[in-house]
Amino acid sequence: MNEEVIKLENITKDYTIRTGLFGKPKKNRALDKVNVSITKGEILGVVGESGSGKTTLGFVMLGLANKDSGNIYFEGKNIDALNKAQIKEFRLKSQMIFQDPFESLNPMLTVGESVLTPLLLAKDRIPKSERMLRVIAALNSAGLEPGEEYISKIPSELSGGQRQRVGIARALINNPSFIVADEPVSMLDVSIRADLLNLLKEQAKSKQVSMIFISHDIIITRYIADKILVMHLGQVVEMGASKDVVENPKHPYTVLLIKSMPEVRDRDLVPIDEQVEYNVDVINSGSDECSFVSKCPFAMDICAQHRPEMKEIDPGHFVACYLF
Amino acid sequence: MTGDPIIEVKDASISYISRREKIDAVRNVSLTLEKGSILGLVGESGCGKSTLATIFLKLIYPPAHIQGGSVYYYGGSEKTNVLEMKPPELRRYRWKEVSMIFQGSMNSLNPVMRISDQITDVMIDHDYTYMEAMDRVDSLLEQAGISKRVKNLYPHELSGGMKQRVNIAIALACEPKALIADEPTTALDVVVQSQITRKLESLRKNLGLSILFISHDISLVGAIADRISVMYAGKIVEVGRVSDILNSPAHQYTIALLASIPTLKRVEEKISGIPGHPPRLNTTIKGCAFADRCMKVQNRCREEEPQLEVIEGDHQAACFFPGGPKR
Amino acid sequence: MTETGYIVPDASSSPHFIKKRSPLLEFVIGIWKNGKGKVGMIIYAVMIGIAVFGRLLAPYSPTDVNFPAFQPPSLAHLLGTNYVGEDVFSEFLYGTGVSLTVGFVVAFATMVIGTIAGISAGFLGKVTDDVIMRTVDVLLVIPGFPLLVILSAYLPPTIWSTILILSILSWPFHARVIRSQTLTLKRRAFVLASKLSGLGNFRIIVRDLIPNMLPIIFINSIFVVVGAIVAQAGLAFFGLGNINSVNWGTMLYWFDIEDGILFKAWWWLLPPGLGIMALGIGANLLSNAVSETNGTKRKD
Repeated sequence: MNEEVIKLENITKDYTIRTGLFGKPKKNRALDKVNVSITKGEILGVVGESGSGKTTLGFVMLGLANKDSGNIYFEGKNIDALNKAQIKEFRLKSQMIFQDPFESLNPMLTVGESVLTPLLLAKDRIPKSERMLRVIAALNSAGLEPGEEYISKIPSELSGGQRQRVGIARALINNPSFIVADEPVSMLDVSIRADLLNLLKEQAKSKQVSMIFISHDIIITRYIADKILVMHLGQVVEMGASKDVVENPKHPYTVLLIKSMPEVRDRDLVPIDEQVEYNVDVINSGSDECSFVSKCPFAMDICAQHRPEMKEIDPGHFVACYLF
Repeated sequence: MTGDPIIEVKDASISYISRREKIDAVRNVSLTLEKGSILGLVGESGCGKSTLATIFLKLIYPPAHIQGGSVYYYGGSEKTNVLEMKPPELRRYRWKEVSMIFQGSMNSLNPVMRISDQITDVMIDHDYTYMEAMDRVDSLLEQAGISKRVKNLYPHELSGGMKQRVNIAIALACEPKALIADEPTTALDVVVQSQITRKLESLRKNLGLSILFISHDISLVGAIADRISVMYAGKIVEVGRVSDILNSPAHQYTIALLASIPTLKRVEEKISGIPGHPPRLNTTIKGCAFADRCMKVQNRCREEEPQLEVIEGDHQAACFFPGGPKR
Repeated sequence: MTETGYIVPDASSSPHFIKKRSPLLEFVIGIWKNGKGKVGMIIYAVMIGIAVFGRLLAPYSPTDVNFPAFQPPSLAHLLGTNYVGEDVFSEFLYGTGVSLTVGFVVAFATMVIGTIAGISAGFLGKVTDDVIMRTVDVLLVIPGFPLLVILSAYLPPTIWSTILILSILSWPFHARVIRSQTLTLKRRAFVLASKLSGLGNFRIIVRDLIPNMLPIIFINSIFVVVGAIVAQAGLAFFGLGNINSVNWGTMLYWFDIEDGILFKAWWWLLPPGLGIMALGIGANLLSNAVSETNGTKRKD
């Protein structure tokens, strides 16, 4: 039961951004030698703010974006070396749930057609009559009951929460091995999130689907995920069991994230310099340093000279920081 | 009630009227913002809070129409009804007495004007001279917590958080006594969000600014507000001090809302959402608007509409069967 | 339980199939339901009707010169007669067919070539994009009317030459618009979802892109109809193309050449002009209807 479903090894991805009309193009490193692995039935939370690379990570994992270096292993096989049939298997076994419920469904298709989409790849294996039944079953397990009534609806007839459920039904219909859930609840009302989070957790656990849960909210990630990965500007700074990371954060950035949560009304905040905001140009340009160095209150010289390695400081709890 | 009011809304009703239907977005809402305090207005999408936000500066345009009520501003010694103000009076009132930060306003800075120009623009429009305006820019940027080097930049060169601070600087430019902040931190990163809310808190402390903080995030509001009003389906369903609302919520909606949010303290408990969805406000609702989704609903709830009743002290809720298990 | 572990409800329950929508049908119905759209559709229906059935409705042959010239409208000649005694009404009925044929064929060619080129450039990118877009750039730079004039002098003076040239000149603009629509659409989440589900490019284009581009394709095309008719009329007015053909343009040509204005023969001048005007108004109404019905479907 502990086989690795997906393993990312030293994944790096760069974007070139232009600086003005005549400026020299700058390199923006979205993923900086990221190492991640996820086992069967595990829910891995990836937490970070905008620019952390968390969404890019999800896309690269699924092959929707290209990596510049590193290896991705799916069920032990390097995905660069897959032949056409194996790629098809990969597609059948992986899926994504998108952030924006208003964008994730084709407005011109019915709910039934949208949920059916992943089945089209394997249509030679599934007889037509069974396809429709599977769609209904998927809609039911996503909480849209009775499924038969939802099949003919079009997205504009549904609320945000309902659309997200359609997205979930679509992701689950082929019983994938792993799903990337990219901020699946951040655009929904607070009181709707709970049910969807519970649904995701329950479906993942009952069907033994590995899930990468991407979010900027560390508290809901703690609620749903088994392990948490904290990312900052493309670098993984901390990783461990979600309970450990949230109750015992080690990396200064993780500490900052948690103390920024409204309910933690901590007046003696980690003394983060107000100047943090001013540095608009803080991107990871690929140099060998800790990405948090310009904002870290504990920054030392070595932090800017050489990027810290991930060290296991407690069983299963890893941090990339010279403080440890 | 401690403290004197600076803005008082009484029985305000706003509807959206089109050929096909009439939507009662705000229904008989009353609330009071006390001087030098922060009042949080909490509600989910569609509850009417953003519509209500437009009433303070009388920014209501068709298809929205004011159906009734008053908004009293206590400037100096007298109180005036903002909704009855004529244009010249409104000009003197807007931005100088009460100003506003709008939802998504990070994207409403003029892309072709430098930051300092946008700030002086407001002041010049409100009878400051150019010299006076230029002098104030530096101190305003400092108050909002931005470095002075931002003065000559254009909006696209700033991050989201910085743009929002510029909006705060613009809102403070003419030294208002009260600020309406409509979802000022939505779409901002967590750390920046925390910085901005703390900045607003310090403005309250240093300038005595009264703030109405509107948000869908009750934890966020709970962190900085003194009092909270909870809004649902166009009505205020509960109001009280922050500690009362968060620790002993009375209205079933507030209770359910708080139970649907995971917190660090209760992270092992299962959270549960509220079934169903808010009613469409294009028909008159008989009884309590929350009845269909309420765990404790009884017959009376569907027949009579509950009004705000005192629970304890200054804690009020519009519920016939308030309260739940103590947290 | 099927072999993939999925619990499937009893197969004997619901017999209906997954209903497919027809975006095209919904599109047309949407226009019809809109007030302006209805009027626009009626205008076009009438004009197309005249174009198709004109020959049968015409009381006389348009080349019949046995009538007195420059007669004002009367019961016998609803739109009077022209310089040589031909019945203007019959001319108009016959001519509409030619003019509208030009309009619709050019629009159809533009739509097909432009859409294929635009989607290919936008969706496939890189080399395909460069090749197509440079071609588009070159064609757009060439001034249209002078080219039309020059080519008309060299190509056989039939209506099909005109149609050919107009098509070549119209598709680049449409291609450019479609390309940018494609670029926007291909980033949308539901397209990524289709990619993730393993759908091939062609399928994604047909299923996800084109149905969402129907409004823009339609609006562009309807204006090409009007534009092509006007361009052809313009060419004919200058005497280029076949002057013996009966169409709106040649009616104007002969009016000008034969000094219809001296005879104040308004009945001869107006029909082509009003015809073009009607189509122009119709096009505007239809495109307004399209933007109204497809813009506000979303409730947020």
